[in-house]
Amino acid sequence: MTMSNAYIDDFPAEAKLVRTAFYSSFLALALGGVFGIIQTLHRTGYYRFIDSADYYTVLTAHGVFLVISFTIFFLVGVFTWAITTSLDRGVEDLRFSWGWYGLMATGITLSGVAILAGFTDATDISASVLFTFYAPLQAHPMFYLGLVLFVVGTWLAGADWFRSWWAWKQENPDSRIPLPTFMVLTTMLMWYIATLGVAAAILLFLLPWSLGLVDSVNPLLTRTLFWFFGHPVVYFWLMPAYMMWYVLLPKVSGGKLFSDPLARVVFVLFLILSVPTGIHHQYLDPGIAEGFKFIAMTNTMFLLLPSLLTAFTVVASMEHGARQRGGEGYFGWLTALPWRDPVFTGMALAGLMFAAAGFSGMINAGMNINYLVHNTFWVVGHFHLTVGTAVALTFMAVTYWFLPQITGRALWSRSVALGQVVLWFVGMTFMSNAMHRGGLLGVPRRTAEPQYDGFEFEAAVGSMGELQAQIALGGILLTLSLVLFFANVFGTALNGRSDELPANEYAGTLSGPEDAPLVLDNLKLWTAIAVVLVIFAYTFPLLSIVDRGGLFGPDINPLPVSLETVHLLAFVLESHVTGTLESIAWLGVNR
Amino acid sequence: MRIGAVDYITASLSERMCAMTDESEQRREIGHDEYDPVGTLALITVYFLIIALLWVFMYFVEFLGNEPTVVGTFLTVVGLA
Ligand code: HEM
Ligand SMILES: [Cu+2]
Repeated sequence: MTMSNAYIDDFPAEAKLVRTAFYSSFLALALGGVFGIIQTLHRTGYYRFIDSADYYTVLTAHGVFLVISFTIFFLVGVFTWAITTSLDRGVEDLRFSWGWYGLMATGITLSGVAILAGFTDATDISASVLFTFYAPLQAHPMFYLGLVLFVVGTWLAGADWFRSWWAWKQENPDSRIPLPTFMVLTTMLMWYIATLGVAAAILLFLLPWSLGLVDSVNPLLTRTLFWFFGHPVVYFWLMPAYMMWYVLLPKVSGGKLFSDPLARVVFVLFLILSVPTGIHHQYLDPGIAEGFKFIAMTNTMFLLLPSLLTAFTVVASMEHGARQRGGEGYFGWLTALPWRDPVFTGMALAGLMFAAAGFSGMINAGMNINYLVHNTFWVVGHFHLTVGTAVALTFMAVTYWFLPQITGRALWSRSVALGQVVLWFVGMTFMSNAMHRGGLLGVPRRTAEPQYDGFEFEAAVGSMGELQAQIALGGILLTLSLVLFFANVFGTALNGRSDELPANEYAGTLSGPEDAPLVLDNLKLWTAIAVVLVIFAYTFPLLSIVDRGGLFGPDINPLPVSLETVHLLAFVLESHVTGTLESIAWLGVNR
Repeated sequence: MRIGAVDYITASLSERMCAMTDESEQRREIGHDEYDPVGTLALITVYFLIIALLWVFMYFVEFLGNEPTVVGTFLTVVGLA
């Protein structure tokens, strides 16, 4: 018998599964990082070695590898750990668990190969459609098929976790659901509802269209179905990070979680409110009535509530740790926190960035102010703070806690780890702040060469050159940070087996589940409410989109566009602009 | 072999001490009733002040720095009502 009580000692088979999921996630992170720095140096003009025509292929790879494979492989690992640890039981059937992992891995490999094939002319396979895959951009069927397999894999993973919970409940009929399990289950319920949108978009429309079974699609319909999924997927990334902030951060701060009931309320609110908000990504889409957008905006503003509750609970839990460590005063306690611990510092800095993202998010969420920043570099700046830091940095920081647990080896270097998380924070401060400012000047996102003849972006403070330099510098620091991260992952894997690992434990609570109303654990009720809200928010917009544009759309030609389509487009644009002008005039008259 | 919570409790003190490196710097135990998160209140107040200031600043960027933004019929109706 070994001396330590690490996860791998208690659950060796599950540790292997979690490890494999993490390594898959890190491979995606590495690939995504490479494409990230290529596009940063390209669009800032510092170093261009790819053809600008390949920019979308690079950007698709960056987006898909990072926000689909890196995040989701990591979180299925975390969730497996959370279920097995908090229920104190292994998975019910290991073959089934490896089955969902295998499906996810196969799926993302198919999609990934389809994307990367876009770099070579040897095949006509390509999928340079960006991670949003809006029609009329069209990918090879393999891309869509891979995504479907990947998502089905996550569905089965969810089933696996529910199965563990049901089995546990038989044996513990009167116990409250342990908090980490509660978080996994609510997140997965949200995910099941959310992925219905993307499943419908792909299976009913995009895949048949890409296979040539149908001639066209209704782009607004597939786009709306995408955002039905595209907003809640944000919470699919965030909720595991929140889980880490609730169950691990208080512990590494030296304290306890302030309130278990509040944590449950937050996750229930996310289950209810995540999906009926997707239209807030479509404020500028013609063809959706303002009223529907207004409803989406209202729901979005309600989503601020669980985020603010989280800010309070998480900070209060850190403060509890700091005071137990001897911290004093209104602000002095901050110095008593374990800033030398990369796990703590990484998560704390991630949380700080998230607070900053809260502001740019409020700007995005406002229907009218959104017009100022829509599709500009501002938005890219915003989500590099949210998914690119709040989530990614939290995941990297907790990796330093997880690695010993799942490999049984001591972390290779704590100081390199500390340097890594700080470097990420600094790099992102440069890159993201300059992206935000660039966006305010109107610098577009998703553009290989954002410079135009006879037009200069004018900065009130600083200059375009200064912004570009900050973005390039930030990108380089982020890339260095990734190198340090991988050094630690490799170094740890090469270490010998250690007997003196910390035990596999998560934070205790100051106010425990016994203080939480029983109704919070009624998952059926919350799911029903979530479904009803989704029906309210989406039935009429979807009906009116289908009514106007048809289920499979008017005839459209997939890209590459021919000359006729350009003429057609010009015509449509022209009539649209005249239409808008007329309605503005009309508004003016009727004021 | 799996070691559950019970084994952990019955593990020897030295085993547990090495497992609890995180708590090794703990100076005192603060329970639910003695704990008053004033520092959290202070930090969150600062955050709200920053957000409020940025919000005011936004007015200058958006409305004084640019042409007025077109807002559609629905909001106009709400505005009139
Ligand atoms: C080495 C670190 C990184 C660098 C240098 C970097 C750089 C960039 C740049 C410059 C863009 C904008 C390109 C454009 O709009 O033309 C971009 C887009 C994006 N990045 Fe990153 N990024 C990094 C890390 C991350 C991480 C960790 C995530 C998420 C986990 C992420 C997610 C995204 C997404 C989703 C897009 C949008 C793709 C699209 O528009 O389709 N990035 N990145
Ligand atoms: Cu959203």
